[in-house]
Amino acid sequence: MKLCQGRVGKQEGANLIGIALVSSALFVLDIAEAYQYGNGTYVSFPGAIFLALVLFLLLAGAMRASGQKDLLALMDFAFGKFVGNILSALICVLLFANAHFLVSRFTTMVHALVFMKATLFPVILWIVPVVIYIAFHGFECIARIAKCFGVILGVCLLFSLLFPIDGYEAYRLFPLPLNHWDTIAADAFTGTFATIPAMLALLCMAQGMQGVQSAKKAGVIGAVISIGLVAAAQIAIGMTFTYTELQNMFVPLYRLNLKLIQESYFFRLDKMLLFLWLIGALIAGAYYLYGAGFVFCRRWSRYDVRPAVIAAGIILLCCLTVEHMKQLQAFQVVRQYGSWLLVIPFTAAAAVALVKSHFLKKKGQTDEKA
Amino acid sequence: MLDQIIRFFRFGRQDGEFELLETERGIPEFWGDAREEAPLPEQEDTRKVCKSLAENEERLRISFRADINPDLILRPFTLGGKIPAFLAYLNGMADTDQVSDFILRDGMRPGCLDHARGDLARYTMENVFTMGEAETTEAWADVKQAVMEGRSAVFIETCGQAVLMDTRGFEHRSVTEPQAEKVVHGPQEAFVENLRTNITLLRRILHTEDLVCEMRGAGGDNGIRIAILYREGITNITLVEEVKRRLAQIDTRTVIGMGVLEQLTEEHSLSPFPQVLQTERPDRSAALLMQGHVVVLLDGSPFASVMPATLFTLMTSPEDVYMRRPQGSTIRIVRYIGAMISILLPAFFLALALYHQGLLSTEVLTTVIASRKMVFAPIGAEMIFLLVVFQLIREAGMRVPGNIGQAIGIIGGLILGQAAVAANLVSSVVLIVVALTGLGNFCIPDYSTQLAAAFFRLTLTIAAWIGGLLGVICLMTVFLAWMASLKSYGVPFLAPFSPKAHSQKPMILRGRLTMHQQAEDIMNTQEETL
Repeated sequence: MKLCQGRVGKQEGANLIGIALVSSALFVLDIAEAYQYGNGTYVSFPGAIFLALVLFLLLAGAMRASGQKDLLALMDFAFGKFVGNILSALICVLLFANAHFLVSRFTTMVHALVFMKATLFPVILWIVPVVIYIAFHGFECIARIAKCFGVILGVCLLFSLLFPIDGYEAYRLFPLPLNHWDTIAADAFTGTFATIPAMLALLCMAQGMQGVQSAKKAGVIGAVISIGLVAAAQIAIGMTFTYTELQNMFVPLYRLNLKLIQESYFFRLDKMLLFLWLIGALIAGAYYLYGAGFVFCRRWSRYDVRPAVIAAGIILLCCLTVEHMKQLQAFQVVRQYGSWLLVIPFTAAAAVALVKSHFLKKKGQTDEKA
Repeated sequence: MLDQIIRFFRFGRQDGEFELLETERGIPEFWGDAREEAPLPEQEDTRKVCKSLAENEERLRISFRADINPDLILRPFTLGGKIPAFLAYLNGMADTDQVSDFILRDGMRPGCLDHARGDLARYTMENVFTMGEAETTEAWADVKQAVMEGRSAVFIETCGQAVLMDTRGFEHRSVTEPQAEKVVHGPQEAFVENLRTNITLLRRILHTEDLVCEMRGAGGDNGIRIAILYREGITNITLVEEVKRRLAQIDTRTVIGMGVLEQLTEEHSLSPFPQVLQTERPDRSAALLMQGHVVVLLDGSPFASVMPATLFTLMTSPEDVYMRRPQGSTIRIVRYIGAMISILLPAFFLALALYHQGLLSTEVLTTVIASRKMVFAPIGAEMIFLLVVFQLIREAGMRVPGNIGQAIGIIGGLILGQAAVAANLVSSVVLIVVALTGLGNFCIPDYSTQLAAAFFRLTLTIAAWIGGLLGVICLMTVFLAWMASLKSYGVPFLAPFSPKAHSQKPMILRGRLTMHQQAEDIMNTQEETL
């Protein structure tokens, strides 16, 4: 099988996970509803990543205990082939949906903020082929590009948060989310639809990551850095705008960057930064797209992952076009129920695998004694 | 006259007009099938040297077309005044002084065969001819190859073997200064077209007993030789085998020059980036050999191919290690900045000036607008036109002899640029951008990488013209994806940065010289690595 997994190291894996999580958390979750109960996104967005990390650690632990090489094998081990197939299909769909969310969001952003006079379709035609091209080259290539851009994107994000520091006012964080912990927890849980797939994809490609341990380490480092960056960005946004302003705001991070106006050779840096975030989205989108193709091929024994990736890319292009024509509502279901679909079966899979491996070990010890 | 006009419009031909396309194999199919119908390579000559002197002579005459080819010299003589023999060599390829003094004079000396017994060819090689490098052979193919290389072959009556002696002495260029990789500090000698001299240049630097030099044919029908150099026991044996495998697979008519060899052995032939390093400097090749790389030398080429090559190898100049660390590091930083400017500046400038004016300050924008006030061409066309003109000047400057080339640079760069601005053909700001781009391009030490940068620059500029920053970012990511997926003889092109390898040596800054004692981790050498 040509799954184009290659051999990916911990640094590349951590950068990839970091880019995917930060892109999803900052640009997919920042819809108006997130700010309707006050300013608690600096807890709920990192919380969504934290929940994904907990599930990731649980699954990695189960894989280690049961000796399974990747997540797909773990699901077979826990529930058998039939349920394993269904869960694989679920991962496949959710990875594809995340690729769609991210690319859709960025095409809309680029269209609305930069090329407002053009139609959306040319923008889609610029972005989607690049995503397909990167995904086509496989996991190794995606992870290596992530390594090239990871630190640059992280540093640029931090600088973009540091420059408008004069405009930060702590009072804008009020009302503090003291009375809304339940709502914030619910938001964090709902947000996992955008954070868990990245972590699950890493476990699916654990062999390309040179083992579960290596994947686990990369995942943990990437997720912890993402939690820090996302929390910092959301606090910066919260101290710049009040929650009532944020409820009506399109891409708050971009609006924050608009404050970077200074009289120099570069007048404003907002669009430059937008295109830097776009690089992150291209990498993350390719990761999700490749992940969907990989799970499909690995599960249903297709020979080569590349035709699957191209097919998924063309479907993505069609979905974006149809969505632009306001014909596509299917992805809203994923937004609403994606977290339930992910958390419950995979937590169950980890628990069942842990219990099963425990009993198998016990049985093995008894047999040895006998 | 009328006939000619009628013939012209009827696509007719004059009687007896030479037409090279008319082949004996008839009209080619619409979808060419040249591959299937290409002539098969000549069968290997498995004949042995004949005991009859006349037969051997006849064979050589036929093989080398001696009736129309005066280069083949067949010199009959009597060996020791007793046995008929003849000497064969190619005029101009063999040193006639050596042939006269050490083969003919010694061979014709009376009494030299007085104690001869047994294998006559071996006896003459050991006791008669006073040549340093000599061997006996039965294989006819070896004889032909030896004569073509400039060696001399002696055939003796009733003896089924030939004595081959190294008398190569053709004219060649002496060792001179490097032309493309000049340095201020460091050795001032470059490879030449002579394979033996090039190997000697390397051996003079590397006094290690593990340096192996394997000679073999390059694979083309022209039978040219190559030398594969590596450190036995240090260089990864899989890498050596892979180099040999790719060289053995070469199937072409002629291999002339290292560029042809490089294209025939590289994995991604459509890649703008080179996958091997071509250098004309023995010191650079020697340093990389010590690091565990493989070096291939080709007879007739003044370049060495070093494989594998990563981006950081291609961006390194041999001078970096000859200077002290702060100086070397500064120059390297400048070089990388120059490369970035060379590739990205025109595209970013065009994107900002054309699509994202809001990002530029009022002063900059005013300057750009003022300088373009009278220019009639769109800024994208103007930029691409100037980039093409830059390549034109560069190409013209390279192809003409030394001083005239410099003059073309001055005429093109200064006078033409000044005149173009004065005539409102181009704006001064765009001219400055292109000039900076050109300077940045020359910071890249490797010529093939410079050409790759030119390709990226032009395509990014076109993308910027069409799609602004979106086009630049998308195409830049595509190029980076290509680089990330590229491998040179199994080593990732962006290693040791991405993927990360065990390397304490900084990639852009220059490391301590003590770090150079050990090979790099990416080479997977059989000794301890960094």
